[in-house]
Amino acid sequence: MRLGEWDRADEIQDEDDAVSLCSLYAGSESFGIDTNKIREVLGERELQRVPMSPAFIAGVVPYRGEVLTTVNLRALLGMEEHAGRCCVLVMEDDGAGERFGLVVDAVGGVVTVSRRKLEANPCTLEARGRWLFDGAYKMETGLMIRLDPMKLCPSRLSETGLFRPSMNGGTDASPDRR
Amino acid sequence: MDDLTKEFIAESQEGLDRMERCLTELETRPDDAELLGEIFRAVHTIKGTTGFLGFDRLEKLAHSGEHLLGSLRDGRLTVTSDLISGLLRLMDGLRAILVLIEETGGEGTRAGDEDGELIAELAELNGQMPAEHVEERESGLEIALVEGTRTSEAPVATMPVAGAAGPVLEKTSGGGGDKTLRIDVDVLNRMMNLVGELVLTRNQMLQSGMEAANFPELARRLDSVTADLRETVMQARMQPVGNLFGKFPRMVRDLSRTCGREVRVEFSGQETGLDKSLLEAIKDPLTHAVRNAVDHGIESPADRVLAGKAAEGCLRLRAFHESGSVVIEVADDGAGIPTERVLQKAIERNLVTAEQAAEMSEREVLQLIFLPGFSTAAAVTTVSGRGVGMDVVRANVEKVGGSVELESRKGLGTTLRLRVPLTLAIVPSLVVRSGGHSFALPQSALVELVDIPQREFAQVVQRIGSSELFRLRERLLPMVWLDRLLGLETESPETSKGHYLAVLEAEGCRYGLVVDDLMSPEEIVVKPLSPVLREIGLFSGATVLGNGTLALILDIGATAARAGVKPVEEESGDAEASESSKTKGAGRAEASFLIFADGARGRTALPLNVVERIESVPLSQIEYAGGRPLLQYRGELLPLKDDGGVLAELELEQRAGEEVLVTVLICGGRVAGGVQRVGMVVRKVLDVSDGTLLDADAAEGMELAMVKDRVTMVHRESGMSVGTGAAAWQEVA
Repeated sequence: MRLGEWDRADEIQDEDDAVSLCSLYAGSESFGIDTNKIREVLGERELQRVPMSPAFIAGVVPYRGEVLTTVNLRALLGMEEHAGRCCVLVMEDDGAGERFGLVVDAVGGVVTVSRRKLEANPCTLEARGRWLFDGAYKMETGLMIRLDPMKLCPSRLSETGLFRPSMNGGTDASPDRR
Repeated sequence: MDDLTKEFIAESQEGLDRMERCLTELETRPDDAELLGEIFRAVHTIKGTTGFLGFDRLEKLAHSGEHLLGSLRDGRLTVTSDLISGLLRLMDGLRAILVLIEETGGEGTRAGDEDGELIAELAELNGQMPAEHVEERESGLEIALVEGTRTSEAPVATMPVAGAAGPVLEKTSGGGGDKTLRIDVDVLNRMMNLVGELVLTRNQMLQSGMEAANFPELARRLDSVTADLRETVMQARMQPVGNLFGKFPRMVRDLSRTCGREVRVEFSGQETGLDKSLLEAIKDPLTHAVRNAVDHGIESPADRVLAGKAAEGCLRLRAFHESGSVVIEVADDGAGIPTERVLQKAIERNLVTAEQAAEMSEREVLQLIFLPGFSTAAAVTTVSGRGVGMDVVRANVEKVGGSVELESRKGLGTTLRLRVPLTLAIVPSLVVRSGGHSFALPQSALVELVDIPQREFAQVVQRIGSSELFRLRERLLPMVWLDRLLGLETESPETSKGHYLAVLEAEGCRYGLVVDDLMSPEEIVVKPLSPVLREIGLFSGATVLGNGTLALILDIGATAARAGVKPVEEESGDAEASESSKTKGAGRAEASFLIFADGARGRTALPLNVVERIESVPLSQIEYAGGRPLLQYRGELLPLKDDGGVLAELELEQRAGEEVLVTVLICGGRVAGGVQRVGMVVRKVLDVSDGTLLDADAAEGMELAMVKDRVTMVHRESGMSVGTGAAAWQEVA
């Protein structure tokens, strides 16, 4: 998947106003992440699950000599496990932040939209949504929810405690289970 | 900070390190002009360069030191303990300023520092000789000058100088030196050449593509270049252990003064190389061990004389290679560890019950010292006895994949052995499968592997309540199911082919980890995990396997803790082992044997403790030199013993194009200067069993033993024969 397909559906008045987003999909919803914050799109990868990890961790994947931890967007949204193919986006590490991957169903392309089309989160949004979403762009085809990669970073997610309760495999291994 | 200053700091610190070593040596050999020269040069160089760089404060201090050393060199002063202390303080002072320069870029002349005091002290030391009027006046003038600039300062006793220097010293060793590393230019050039070769090979591979005829050859070249490159980088990271030892004479000197001991320090094997990161990792445990040895180990001079020993105690630091790891030994000739006091303490602290204590063997009692919160010091001193001790030492060493052994003989001394792998980044490990996942177990923790076929499962696994135990040579081993522990899908008993039990030992716990399947042993490259996954606490890292998939590296100690395996529980198991080894030692009657068949003689055995590994090797890999069979094994040449003529038999059986596997027992025997290995070619490994030695016929080189009610020939423990074998081989080569 290449980030080169420019989609100038929107009319953009001046360059400062424009922001380029990478569109991605999870379930039936479409999301956008600022292209500057994406390091690489890995495409389909086999993920190695990590036992006992929080549910939002999709697993680990080898990436340029490192072991990259990936976050499952579907799990964060409370959706069912996705059986088919998925796509891993590698996020740029911002300073002290760690590098991580985001697992989504599919990556669309790059769209350029005007900043003025951004609408803040609705006040009725529940806590998890408030953490994950960063407003939405009003596109012609519908809404594109903006994600802030810094808030999706696995250690930040685990700090919030919002996505904690269920674990992969769902066991706490107490000795008497033997 | 400019490069010049940086270089100056690095060089000065090296100079001071040298000076530190020489100073403590000087105390024992006060007439050694060479030592004195070395010290003088270090201070002189600093003085010379600082003037040039414009660090006045440093220059002044160095100058006064140089003055004193000058008098010493010219023989106008004699080496006294006070003088050495003064010089050590001078060194601390210089170090402190260097650190300040490194951190702030300036030497902080405005700050309230006690240079004046120190300079005065040095001058006083220098001025002890009445003949040196001129010099005295000169230095006196200097003091006046220095003190003139700091009139507001109240005179402070000299002691705080030394006190203040303590933390600064720590900082130096913890800061600056870690970030830089001196590398031989040759090594760097070799690395560059290898990288060049790597790039060329890559280019060729990219151009030729997978289908090309020379692809296998390219892949092979890539393999060898990678191996060479890895080795070179590792070599560059290697640092002599002596760098670490260097700071101990000073430390022991200070310690022995505070504790009222007389201690001499001896070193050997300083040149032994160890990965830089590992050297850092063992620094604290080693410091702890040395402290313990001086404070607890070595007795006061009076006590020593009473015990019939020299008043001066001896602390030996030794480093050497042993079977792929580096061993660092801290040995003292003190009183040894008083086992009854240890027991008493353990009972007091509720670590063991009185009944348990009564049954404990000496070795077990020593293990108690490693329990958290244990300290036997009669009084809490500033040096040790605060209850953080050996448990921390052990934890730190085990963190880097090493182990700690303790040996103590009453009245004769204590030896602490830290065993650490050569390098951290690459770990030999065994890959296992459980619940559809791959996991890597570090070989260092792996004791043995047991195959449990499904049909035998019910017989060998025994239960107490809900916990399952495996009976391994009359020892009960707690079983931990990896798939259940991690909440993975378990194989149903119907489809399962059986299980493997990996007997693991870490942090004093021994347990059997049940896994579904064993994969290959692999040398894995450890990759760190992200904080979220580290938090799980069961995995120490991840690695990419040869087939491109990822495997998690299991933290053996943490897994034991999670499963509820406790070291103390394990002690009771250990008791049996040490019990049996005791009887073994006493009469050499009972022992475990590995029974095998070799061509001519049928049933033969080897004592189990000399066999390190059993390997299957293709016949073609066995080479001959002067008619003797040899095997290249893990980077060493292994002479093979083939008394039964198995090789010749196999040679005959081998048909063209077929690969015949030879079973080789890798036997290790201790000889002077490390471990000597030899390979024993056998037809087939039959069993492991306990037996009784019947007849020890030294002349024959064979013994007879009763194993499983059958008389079996036993090869004598191979120490001697290995030695001669190797010597003979060397002649051939």
